[in-house]
Amino acid sequence: MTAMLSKPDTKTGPATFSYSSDDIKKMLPHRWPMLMIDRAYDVIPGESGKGVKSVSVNEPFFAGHYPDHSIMPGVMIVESMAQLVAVIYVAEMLESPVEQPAGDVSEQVGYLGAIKSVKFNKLVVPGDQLVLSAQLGPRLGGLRSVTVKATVDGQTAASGSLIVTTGRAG
Amino acid sequence: MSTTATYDEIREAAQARLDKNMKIKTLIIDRLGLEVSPEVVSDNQPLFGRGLEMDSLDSLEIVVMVNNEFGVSVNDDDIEAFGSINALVDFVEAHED
Amino acid sequence: MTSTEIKPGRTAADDYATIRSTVGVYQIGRPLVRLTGDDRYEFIDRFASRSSEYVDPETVREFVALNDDGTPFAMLLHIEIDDVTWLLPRTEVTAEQLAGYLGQFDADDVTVEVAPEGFAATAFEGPQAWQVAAKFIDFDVSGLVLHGVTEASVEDAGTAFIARVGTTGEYGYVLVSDAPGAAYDAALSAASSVGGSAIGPDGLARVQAEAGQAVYQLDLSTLSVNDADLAWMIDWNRVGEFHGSAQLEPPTVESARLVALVAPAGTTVEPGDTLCAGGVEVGDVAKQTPSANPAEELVIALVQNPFWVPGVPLTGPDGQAFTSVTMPRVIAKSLHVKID
Repeated sequence: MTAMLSKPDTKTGPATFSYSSDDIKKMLPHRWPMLMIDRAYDVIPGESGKGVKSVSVNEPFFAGHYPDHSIMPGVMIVESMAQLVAVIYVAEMLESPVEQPAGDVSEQVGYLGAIKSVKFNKLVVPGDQLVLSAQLGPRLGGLRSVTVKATVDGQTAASGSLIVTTGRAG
Repeated sequence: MSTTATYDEIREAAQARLDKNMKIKTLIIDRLGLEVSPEVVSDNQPLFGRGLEMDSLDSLEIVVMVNNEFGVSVNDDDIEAFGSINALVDFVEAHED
Repeated sequence: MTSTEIKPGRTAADDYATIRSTVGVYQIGRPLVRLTGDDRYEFIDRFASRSSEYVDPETVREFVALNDDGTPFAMLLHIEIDDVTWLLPRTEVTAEQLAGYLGQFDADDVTVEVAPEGFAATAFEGPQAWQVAAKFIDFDVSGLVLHGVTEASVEDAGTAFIARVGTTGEYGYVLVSDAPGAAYDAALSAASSVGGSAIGPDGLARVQAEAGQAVYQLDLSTLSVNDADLAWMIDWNRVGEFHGSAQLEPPTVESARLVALVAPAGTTVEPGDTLCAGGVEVGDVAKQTPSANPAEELVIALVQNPFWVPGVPLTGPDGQAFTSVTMPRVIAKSLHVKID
């Protein structure tokens, strides 16, 4: 796809972009029950961005985790943060002035390579809204380091760094 | 270093390099969370496949470390910097201000 | 000890160029050891410098085995395939020495066979070595990752396997079978088709030294673990648990160490020659590696702290000028060659 999904936000500094849930579904291959990001904003393509994931009691993992005490598993919080990273990556391809290869951009989404020293500071429960943020760091070969954070009402729920692969394996 | 350098001059320069090697080894061990002391890490063994037996994920950690500690960027073309601890130190010395 | 049929007229420099640009093939004349039985890891751990605990099937790794007094006995490849452990020495050792060494350890429920009849190993190393390896495996050769081991097809062989492991910093593979003649011929034929050939020990030794692996050609009986820069191969948390380890002390920055020195082409030295820094003795020559690289000479020396870092100027007994260097001295071409 070559058309831009959204208009750039008008302010000084680098152009930032916002993506609705419908936009994100065109960018990521993920679907229910594994689509863990509802919205993205302040995205500087290929560099950084923020996102939102609303946590609802209706999510499948709450049925088992735990039946009488709903706690969002830490690894699902990591998954939300990782999906924000994927959106930031795909945004780089979409918003680039360079002609992109034909085909689905969502096929360019890579994989999680490493979860490094992620801390979970606060339990996340139904009704919480996770505000996600990601800052992409140095890269080497097909790998990129990323710093990520998730907050609820301004308090850090999870933070740490990930390594993601940039693109699908051959 | 010229061939007319004195013992003391040679020793001083060698010690400085040794200290640099130890510093970088300590930073790597810290960064990768290895349970080994820097004296035991070879300066001349390859970093991949032997020696520290790093993988590509570890190498990105080194890139981040070198960036943060020395302000030096490592690009995809600089793969030779990972030939050994000495190769990495050579690379950092050649590129730091 | 490598044995092979070299074409008359080929020099060490020719062999060096072959390994560096395509692929060199040689037979590894050292005795294999085959271990079977459920307790074989326990047996190996009696003398392996690194534990077998996390060894995966179909992988190869290397460790050093020590003498009673903590000096190195041999460096061994440990190959795991089909519930059998194979050990292949990387340094000089005879079948008698191996049998004597392994005989020290109780082998309940483990069958230990030194130099099992008919088995031998062939190696091929160089940026195109993967093209030779491809002839022996059924799947895409790029799928055989570094330190992976897989079954191999060799004509007339009952058992054959190939490990991706080398000694030169270039791509390298070891092919073990009970039809070593056929294996060697097939490897040579495959090598020839990509411009490679059989190689002798000198060209190989020079490439190994330039990759920081000169230890394979040194007499281990004259070196300690620390001198030989093998401390990285020791699991220091297991000291006291494997043979000879109680005698080990971890190296300190004060320790002496082997280092590679370069000198202008044509320079010669002898083992034992003293080396000086600014007129003061700081080490001596262990070995001059073969002059197979026309650009310069490469000498291995045992040198005191801190003179074993790179960039140190040293002088030989006849005024020969040396400089210590970073390893690898020559960047492997394989670094930029993709296995297809």
